Amino acid sequence: MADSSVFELRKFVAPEIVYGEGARLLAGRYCSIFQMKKVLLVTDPGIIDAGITGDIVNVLKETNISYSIFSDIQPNPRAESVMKGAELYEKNHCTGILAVGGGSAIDCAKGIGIVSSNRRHILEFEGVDKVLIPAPPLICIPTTSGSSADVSQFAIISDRERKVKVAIISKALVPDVALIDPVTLLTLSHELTQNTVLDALTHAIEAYVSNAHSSITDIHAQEAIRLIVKYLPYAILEPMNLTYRTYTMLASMHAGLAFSNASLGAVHAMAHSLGGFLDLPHGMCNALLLPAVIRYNYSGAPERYDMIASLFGSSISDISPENRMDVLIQKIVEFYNQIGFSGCLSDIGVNSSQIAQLTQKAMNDACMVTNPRKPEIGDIKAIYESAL
Amino acid sequence: MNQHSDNQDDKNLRDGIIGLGSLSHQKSYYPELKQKIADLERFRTLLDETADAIFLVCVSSGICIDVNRAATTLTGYTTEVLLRKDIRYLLTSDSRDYFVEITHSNNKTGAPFAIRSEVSILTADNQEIPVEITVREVTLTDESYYVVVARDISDRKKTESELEQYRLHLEEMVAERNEELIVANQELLYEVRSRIKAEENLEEEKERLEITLKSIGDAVITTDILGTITYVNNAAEKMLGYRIFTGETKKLSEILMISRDDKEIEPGNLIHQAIASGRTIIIDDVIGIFRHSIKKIIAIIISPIVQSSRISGAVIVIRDITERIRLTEEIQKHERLESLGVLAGGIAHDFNNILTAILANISLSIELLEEDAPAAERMREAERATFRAKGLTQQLLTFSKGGAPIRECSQIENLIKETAGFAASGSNVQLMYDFSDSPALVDIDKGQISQVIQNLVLNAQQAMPDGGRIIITAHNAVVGMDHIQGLSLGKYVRITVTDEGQGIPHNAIPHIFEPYFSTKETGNGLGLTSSMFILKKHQGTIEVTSEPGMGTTFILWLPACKESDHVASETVDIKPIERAGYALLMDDEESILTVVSTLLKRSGWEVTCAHNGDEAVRAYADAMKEGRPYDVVIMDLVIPGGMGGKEAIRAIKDIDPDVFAIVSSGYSNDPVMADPTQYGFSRVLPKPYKIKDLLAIIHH
Repeated sequence: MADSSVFELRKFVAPEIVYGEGARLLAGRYCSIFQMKKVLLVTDPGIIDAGITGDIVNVLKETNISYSIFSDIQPNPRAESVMKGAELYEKNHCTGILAVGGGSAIDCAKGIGIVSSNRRHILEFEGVDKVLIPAPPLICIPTTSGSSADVSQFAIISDRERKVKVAIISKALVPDVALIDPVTLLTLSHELTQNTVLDALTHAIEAYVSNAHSSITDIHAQEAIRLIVKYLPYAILEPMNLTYRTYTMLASMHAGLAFSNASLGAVHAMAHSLGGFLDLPHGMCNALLLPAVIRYNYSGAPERYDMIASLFGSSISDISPENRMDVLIQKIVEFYNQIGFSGCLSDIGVNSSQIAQLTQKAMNDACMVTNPRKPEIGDIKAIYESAL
Repeated sequence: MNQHSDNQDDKNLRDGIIGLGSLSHQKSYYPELKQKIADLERFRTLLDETADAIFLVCVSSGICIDVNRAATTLTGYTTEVLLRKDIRYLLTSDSRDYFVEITHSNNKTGAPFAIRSEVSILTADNQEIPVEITVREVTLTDESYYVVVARDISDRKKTESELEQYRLHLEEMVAERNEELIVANQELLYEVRSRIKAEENLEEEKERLEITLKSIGDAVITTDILGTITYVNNAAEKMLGYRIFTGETKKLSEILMISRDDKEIEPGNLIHQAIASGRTIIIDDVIGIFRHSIKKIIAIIISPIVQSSRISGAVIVIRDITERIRLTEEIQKHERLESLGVLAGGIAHDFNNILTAILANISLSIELLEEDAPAAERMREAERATFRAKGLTQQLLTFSKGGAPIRECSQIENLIKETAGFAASGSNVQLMYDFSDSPALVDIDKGQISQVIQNLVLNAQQAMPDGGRIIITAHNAVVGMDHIQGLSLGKYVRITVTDEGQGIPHNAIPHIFEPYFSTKETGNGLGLTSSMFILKKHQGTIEVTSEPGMGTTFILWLPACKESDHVASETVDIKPIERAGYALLMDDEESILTVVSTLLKRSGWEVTCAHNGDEAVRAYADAMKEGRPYDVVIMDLVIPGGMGGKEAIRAIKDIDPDVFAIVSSGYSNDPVMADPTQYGFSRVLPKPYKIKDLLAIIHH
């Protein structure tokens, strides 16, 4: 059966990517190229503690780039942090932003950038294509192998007042440069490695089944799934092995390029709702919801899901179509088990009384429009319930 | 929920998410960069086009980081060179020290310092340019800079020095100007003098005009268009009795009234009429009533005054034509008298012949009567009446044309005494004479002048019915520049006849020489008129002065004889006839022949009568043939229808050049009577005459 997506309009946007060991040390050079005489170095305390930031600072000093460090950042970056960072950026006459960290630090840096150039509050950018003036140059050095914010058009900001995660979606949010250095992963904890890689896996699966997938995104998505399935277990076992870290980092990058252009689906929509409501780790939410969503979505893109199953090592042609969905879900759960991940929503404090509210928010999430099936409220409720 | 719009929203959202929305483009700095570059270029242009030189100077190094174009122009260095330069070395050494000082003392508040300080820039070609600098310290990306704005003030300096030079120049100019002023002043003085001269000329011209106007005998008055008098000349002042005084304006109608045929004419109306019509109005022969109700016959001419084609008033010329009218009337009277004279002359010959006959017969009758016979006195009275008739005839004849006086050079004293004495005889007046400076001989018709004296004495006598003195004087006088009207220059004898009567009323004086004018009940009004005529015919004149109650003086002017005249008058030398002799009497009047011959015969004369010239010439020729010429020939001058005395004497003179002939005529106007010797006569005997007069002439 022919793939209809190749006959439809598609676009692919990606930052300039430098991949490999030592990529992070090019930060000074890239700052100079972008005339960033004074940079706002956005990072988080963990990264500073890990000594990653220090390496970067040294590089900046070596290349005579002055900098200001902003590190007042929590996981799930808050609007207040963004505004604070923008204030600092303004005050110190910075001419560019260097983000060193995971999804939180990079999303916060993206926020500071657009607030500085547009001189508007960060929450005003909620939605799609609300960024009219491009942000100052943004160079990202990711330190996790999951969020892929360093290559994506997404920024997720937490509005603590409304208890929601605000999705800001714009091609203008795609960073200028991603310096992807697997060395930064060596200090990543077991738990964070689990969460972030599972996040990347979800990105790849949802992008692959997205109704906006394209030939380009398909390749990235498949590669991401292949690498995760193959190397994540080893990386969990040998966290200091740079080779395995390199593959997981690559997987995260591929997943990022795929979902940034093909977007996501119901898993992310429901995970955003959940994360915003309960301030839960994003990767975990995704992983807990993924099997239930596949069960609902399978009929919307059975061949795609079958392809994923085969990437998980299933011989699809040997399995009857009506069993294939179950086989896939089983494979995923087996993989979870392999890497030591398990659990359900109930385990993380979600109860049935919250489902209506979560459903409502999930229905309004932008990620829902590229879901292979268009769900009704009842469908989402059912998914949440099944994931409890 | 609307499924369709929901789908549409979802589609739009999806497009945006997958990068297909209209705003879903990748981050690009280029458009913004382009915009910023344009802004910068504009700003750069702004900076470069700024006249002030602007230097952005690094505080720590003093090196110029940026400069605008004016900075390169000012310093003469290219931008590239300037951007390596320490600003301090763009200044002269003095200015450099100053710059260092002010930048060190800068308190770094960001406020400008060294505001408009004057320093000097050293240019690429080592020239010093005075500039005014303002320095401000700014911080850009942690680096401090001085923004140095320098303004070239060499023009201002130059202007200041030029101003100074100009000031000095001005002072020089003022000095020069003063000299020029002095020259101009002199020129002005000259100009003023010229103008004064011109004004004087104008004044002279004005004066001349003024004098002309003053000298005009006519009254000249100007008025404005409302009839208010603006000017009067002397004659007008006199005539109107009005002089323009300052502050007082009068209208012509206030001082002059005009009337004609007892109707008043308003002078203001005439002026208005002249101004309105723009034409000259001439009104002749009207009565002007002036101040004190003095009336004069006047001619009035009113013309509009036109100045630059606008009428500004009127000029009024008033001529007193009283004299002209009087003269016209006099001429008319004279003409009347002349025609009377012609009439008188026409009949005088016959009348005198008749009177001669009457007189001769009366004389004869008296001789025939006894001395005391009652009729004798009546006859003498008739004789006197005949003489009065003769006098009247004589007076009438003086008016007739051609009645030239029969003049001779005569002494005046005796004539006056004889005539006055005769006229005053029998009256109660006393005659007094004054001929103290031996008056010259006068060339007169004794009969006519005698008649004048007689008239005057009679008038004087009648003016003093209660008696009084009549003083008669005769003195030599010369009429010179102060000539008396009607007299030519020369020597005269001035005769006055003064009485002590009641005088002549003033209003009567102008009329006393008019014919038929008399203040006396018995006067015929011809005495003074004929006297005037007689004097005029003698190239003399008669005047009168009289004051009521103080008497009257008549003054006669008679031309004195010239020496030659005097000598000529002595020519005829006639031997007087001692005895009665042989007389030839010619007259066409039979009665005269009869009575005169009778009278002569009674005196012992032998008389031959002739009725005309032919008979007389024949008689004389016969007498000459007989060798017994006539001792005297008495001939009438005019013989109607025959040869008169004038022709006859010529013929007789041919026969006997020594003939003694008397011409006798009642027509005394004939030139022969005035100058008988010219025609061959020895004596004249006007008719009528007494036989006594005839004998007196014969025996003289």
